[in-house]
Amino acid sequence: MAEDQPLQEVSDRDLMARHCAGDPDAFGEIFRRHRDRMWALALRTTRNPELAADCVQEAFISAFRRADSYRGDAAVTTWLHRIVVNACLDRLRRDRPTTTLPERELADGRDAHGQVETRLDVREALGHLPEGQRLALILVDMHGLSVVEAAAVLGVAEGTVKSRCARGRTALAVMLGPSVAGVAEPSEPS
Amino acid sequence: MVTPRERQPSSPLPDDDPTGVRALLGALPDPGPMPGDLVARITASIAAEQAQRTVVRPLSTRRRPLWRTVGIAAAAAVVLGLGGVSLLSNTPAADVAGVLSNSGNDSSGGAERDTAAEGGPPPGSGSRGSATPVVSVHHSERAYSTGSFAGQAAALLASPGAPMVPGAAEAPTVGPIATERGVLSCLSALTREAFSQVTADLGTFDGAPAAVLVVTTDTGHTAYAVQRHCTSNTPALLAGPTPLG
Repeated sequence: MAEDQPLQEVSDRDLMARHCAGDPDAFGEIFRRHRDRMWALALRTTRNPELAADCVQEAFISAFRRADSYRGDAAVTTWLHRIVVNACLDRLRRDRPTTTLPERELADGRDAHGQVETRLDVREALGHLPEGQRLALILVDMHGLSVVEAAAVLGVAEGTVKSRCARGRTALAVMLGPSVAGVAEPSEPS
Repeated sequence: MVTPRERQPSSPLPDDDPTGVRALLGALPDPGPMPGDLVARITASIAAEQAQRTVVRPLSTRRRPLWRTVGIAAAAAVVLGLGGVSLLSNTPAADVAGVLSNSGNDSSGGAERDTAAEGGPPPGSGSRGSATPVVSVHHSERAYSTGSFAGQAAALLASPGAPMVPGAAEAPTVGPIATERGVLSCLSALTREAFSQVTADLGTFDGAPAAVLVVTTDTGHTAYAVQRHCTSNTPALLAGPTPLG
């Protein structure tokens, strides 16, 4: 890797290598590139902005310290996803007795009238799913990870991710009902 | 920023999701970029981590000239020959190790202690290459509050009172925030600004146990109220940064 190459042009993997070699700026570039995505992941996982802020900070500091554990077999983003998800789950499990779900979790941008309620319903419904299904849908459907990547993040088999996604989507479809345009009703068992 | 392209389903087959929920979830708007104050907070934490970071070279890469090895061995022999046995029994092991390792003016060792002595900034310090900030810790149990915070913090600065008794940080209700290192660790998560002095006071904030930290910079004073478990990893900020007049 060229030492004079601007950091913005260096690949994630090379940045991690530079960080492990002692480059004082490499991890800052990793943070700059991926902070928004990890913030979104923490927020969707915890559904609490204050908790998400603590978790994503813990995650980046953990990633900084444990950078030498990154083996390079998965993408850096996959590795970061895993650290953020684990930080969120650890915190949620610690705080479970006192954590309450917010009534409204995110401030929506301006949307067409009538669609705002749909988005709130979807997020509210997501919150009712079992943790495994909710995380699978967050990673695959909302963050665009492949099933393979999501399985690596969650530490489960690919088949498990697929089944959690399928069951989660079915459960959401039932919760949201026929009032949501474009959401096909799941087929009823005969 | 998560772009719509990043949310494309990996398998776009129409029968992959007969419920249509995947498309619905994929169409949800992003929460937006990470808030600026959080960016600043994490950036400061990363900077603090970098400041504490030392690169310990593996033993196989250390190169110690033979004359230094001989010199260290000779120094050890001198110490022992001069009745060093009795000295060693009264000298902390760390001090002895330091004498032996530094006797040859060895700068090639990768020990954390030697690296820190080469001028790395103290852990948790907000200063940039300058001397360690002066930290004073007090335990007034003053009841700080949101509405009066600025005035109360200014009063603390003007009249901090007697410093805490050494060892008081061992009390479970007090903790590391009552130590210099704990204060600096906490501040590393709150600010990147260089400061020369910190006045810390243990009390309550809006009725809950807290610590108030007032930092002195080149441009003035800034106050923070934090929970007592505040560290570089967990800012636990309750109030501030509040500039003091």
